[in-house]
Formats: sequence, structure tokens, C-alpha cells
Amino acid sequence: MEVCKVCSKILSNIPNDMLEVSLKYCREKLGRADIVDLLKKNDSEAIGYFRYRLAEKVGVYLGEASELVKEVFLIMDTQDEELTITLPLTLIVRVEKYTAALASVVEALEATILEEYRKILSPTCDHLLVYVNSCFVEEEDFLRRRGLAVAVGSLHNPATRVWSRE
Amino acid sequence: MRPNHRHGQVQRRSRSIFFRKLVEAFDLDGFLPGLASLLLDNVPGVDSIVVFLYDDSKKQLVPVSVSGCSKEGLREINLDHGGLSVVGKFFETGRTFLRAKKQVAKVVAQFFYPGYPEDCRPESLLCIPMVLNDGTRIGCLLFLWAHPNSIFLKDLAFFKRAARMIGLFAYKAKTLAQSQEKKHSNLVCTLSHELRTPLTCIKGYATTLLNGGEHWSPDEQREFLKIIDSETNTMKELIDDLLESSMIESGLLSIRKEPVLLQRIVGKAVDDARLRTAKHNIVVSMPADIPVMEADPGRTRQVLDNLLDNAIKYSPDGGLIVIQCNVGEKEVTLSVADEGMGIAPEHLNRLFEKFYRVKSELAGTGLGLPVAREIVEKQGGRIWARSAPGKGSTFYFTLPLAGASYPDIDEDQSGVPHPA
Repeated sequence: MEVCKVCSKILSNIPNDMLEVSLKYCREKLGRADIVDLLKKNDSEAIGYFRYRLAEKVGVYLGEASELVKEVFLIMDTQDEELTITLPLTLIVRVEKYTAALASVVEALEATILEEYRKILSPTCDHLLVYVNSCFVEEEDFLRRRGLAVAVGSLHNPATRVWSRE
Repeated sequence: MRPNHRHGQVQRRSRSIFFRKLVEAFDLDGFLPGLASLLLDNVPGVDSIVVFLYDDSKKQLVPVSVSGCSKEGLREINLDHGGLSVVGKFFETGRTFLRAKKQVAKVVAQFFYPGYPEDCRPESLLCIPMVLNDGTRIGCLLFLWAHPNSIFLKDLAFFKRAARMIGLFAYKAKTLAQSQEKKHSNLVCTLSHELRTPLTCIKGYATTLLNGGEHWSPDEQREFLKIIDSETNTMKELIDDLLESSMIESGLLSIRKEPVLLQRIVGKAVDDARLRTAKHNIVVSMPADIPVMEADPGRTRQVLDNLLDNAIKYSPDGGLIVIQCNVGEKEVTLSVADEGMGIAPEHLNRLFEKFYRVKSELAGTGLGLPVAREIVEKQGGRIWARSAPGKGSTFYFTLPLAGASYPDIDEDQSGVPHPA
């Protein structure tokens, strides 16, 4: 197996790229340059695009980092009109098994994303304690729809798959 | 308060201190000779106490701790024919026995050489065999009185309890010594195996090159030399581990602190680790604001190398290895997490013991982590591990921030300033 190109970098540099890509995605989708201002005004459309693209980037990163990661879902915590920039981005990560290395990489990734996110959306997000919140569901629980796995197939508020190994 | 009552309280306290000392004793070999004396201090009225331990290989009761009489006068009691001696008979059955005045001389003759010292000519004798619940015979505890009828039956319960505790204590000391012996014997086996494997390889390829070097193409010859080089490195690492271990034993492991940049040390360690494995994903997470620290760069690198080597060794191909660094108020914590087989809780506490190995079939001497611990602790840090079977492991170590300073980062040098 080849060494993952993304992973071979120092992780601290990656969240910055992820946020930049997400902002760029919003700019392209909305055709506007002042995306950071829109986000600060809690524009739900901008936030929605930003969150989706960031979730996708985190999914890709985790998938490339560990072969144990099978799928990543974005949980829609709330209706679009209630989206705010301080609302945590909850991800469900389906894994073959949850390991110490996955816990460590996610802890580092979440902390560095939070730091960058606070910088971009200061001062509104200066005191934010959690932004990306990755929840792991092991394969067995996923197949038996136990715990958070239930949220993936929810009829009322289904999760969006943002990355898959297949 | 009545004097007798107060006396009883003092005695109870002094006896409970005796038991506490027994339970808390760490240096078992060093504690054993003074045991009789410690016990004698807590049982007024008794003139002498002797602790006999049973030597299974010689089938003998051997006096190991004596107080109140001369040890030279005591002799080993042969139990080959247990039924023939009084002591042997009671030891075999595990029954306490008491002898006074006339009967005592016969029994005493078994414990002492003929002409035993006058100062220890007992008139009463109490012998309590030390036998564990599972029937394991440990030895016996002998109380001697210079006058007849000196034994207070109310003390008997304490004597029996003391014998039981000393028995457990001696058993603990014995099993510990056996486990040390076993560890050393395992080490010799491991080392012979670990050294022989690369040596056989080196010898094979060197002989091949010497005997028929011309039959092999330059590429093949180079490949053989690379194998010899790699196997020599393996041997060197083993010998280095052994040397480090002996330096720890003799207290000679030196630490030379100087200003260091952890980013640089981690960066180099990871670059080298990537050369050793192309089959693992190695992720590094370092905050940008790590201060310049006071640490031994070579030794810190050695600890990181060891943790990374273990992560590589125990992780499956394609496994993720994460090196994380967190700056706290008083210390910096470095961690190495993997997706390996994990470690069961019963092994976690013993990982840092010398020669301890969780899986003996995997290569290693069991010296890497103890050496790492010594290095970390000598620098004022801590080292520990968290793990669960099948879920990988995370090893942490800290380095104190005392003496640390924040560097002036020069952007032109990609944020990597000068120290180490």
C-alpha cells in the first residue's frame, strides 16, 4: 500500500486547507465573494454549503488516514433555517473498529479545525469549545442499528453520506 | 482508665504496627533477617523467636531469622524422614505444638546443636507451622521461653496470626525471587535467539560472498551487503539496549539537557520511521507554538524511536500511527497511538518492567520501554500507556516545561529555528 499523501503531511497544516476549500466552495455555489461576512451573519445557505464541504473534506481525510474507516455521515442537527455558525458539525464515522490511533487523529483534527474556525469567524466563535464532533460507530453496532447508527437511517432527519470507501 | 486496659491498648497498637510493617515491606530479602527481632519487640515475655523456612529442594527447615539467642547454635532440621522427628511430624500435619519443662529438651535438641548456648536454654517451647490455605508448607515459627508456664493462652491467637502472615510474607519473597530468576533465564534464552538470528544471516551471506562472489551479479552482491548491513544494525540495537539496561542498573545513564525544539526531534524521528516502513500511515500533529525546551535531544529521540518502533512492529500493514503533541501549563505531552493488537489491562502496569514482554514470540528484549521510562523520568517527566485488546495502544510521555522559552520564529526558515 502506498503511503497516503495527505496523511504524510503534518496534520496541523491540513485544517487550514479544509476550511479554505470549504469557503471557496461556498463562493462558487453562491457566486459571492463575501462568504465570511455571510457566515458571520448566520446565512443558512452559506452555512449549509460550508458545513457540507467541510464534512466531506474531513471524511476524505479520515478515509485516507485509516483503512478502518468505511463511511462518514453528516448529521443534520436542525432544520436549515436554524443553522448558525456556532452549531457543532456532527459526523458519524462508520469504522470496522475504533482504535487508539483513530481517537488520537480525530482529537488532533478536531482541535486544529476548531482553532482555525475560531480565527476565521472571530469574534463570534471566539469562545466556541466544540465545532467538528466526530462520533464513531463500529461495524457491528452499525449493522445492528445500535446507538448512533440509528441516526443514519432516521426517516425524520436522515444523515447525509459525505464519504464512502466504495 | 485501668492500667491493664491501657496496657492492652498499647499492645494491640504495637502488634498492628508489626502487621502493617510486614504488609508494607518492599525489600523482602533485606526484611527477612530482622523479622524475628521485630516480632520479639511486640510480644513481651517471649525470650527467643526463630523463623524456620522450608527448603523444598533439600527437604530441610532452615533458620533464617533469629532473635533472643545465638544463630550459630541453631541447625537445619532434616525432614526427609518427617515421621521420625517431633518437629517433622507436626510440620507435616501443620499442627501447632507446645512443649514445657521435661518434654522440651527432646524437641530443642532437634533445633539446636548439642551444647547450645546457656542463654537460650528454654523451659517452654511453642512451634507453629506456617502452612498456606492450599497446603503449601512455608516453614515454622518457634517461640522459646526461659521459664516454664510462661505462655499466656490469650497470646496464642496473635502467634498464629503472626505465623500466618509471616508465611504469606515468606511465600511472597520466595515467588518474587523465583520470578526474577525466571526472567533472567528467559532473557538469556531471548538474547541467544535474538542475537543468533541476525548472526546466522550475516554469516550465511558473508560466506556466500567470500566463497563465490564472482558468481553473483554486482546488484545481487549489493543486495547481500545490504542484508548484512541491516542485520548488523539489528544486533547493534540489541547490544545497545543491553548496555543501556546495565547503565540503568549502575545509575550511569546520563542526561545532558540543552535547548531543543521538539518539532525538529519529532520531524527527524518520523522521517526515519517512514524509511523503516512504507506500509503504515504516519500522521503528526504538532502545535505551532511549542516553546524551546530544556531536554536531552538524543535521549528524547531515543524514547520516540522506541515508541514508534513498537507502533510499527505491532500494527498491521496499512495501519495508522498518530504522533500528537500537546502543550500544557507545566509540561508538554507527546503521544504515539497505533491500530495494533492492543494490550490487556493485566499487562499494562508491567510494560515498563525490565525484561517483561507481553508476547514472547515477537522480536525484542523487553528492555526498550524500561530504558525509555528511565530516560523520561531522569528528565523530570512521566511515561504511561493506555490500551485495550484489539483496539490499539497509545503511549504518552511528558517533558517538563521548566526552563522552556518561546522561540522567535523566522518565517524564512519554514518555522524551524536553530536549536537541536
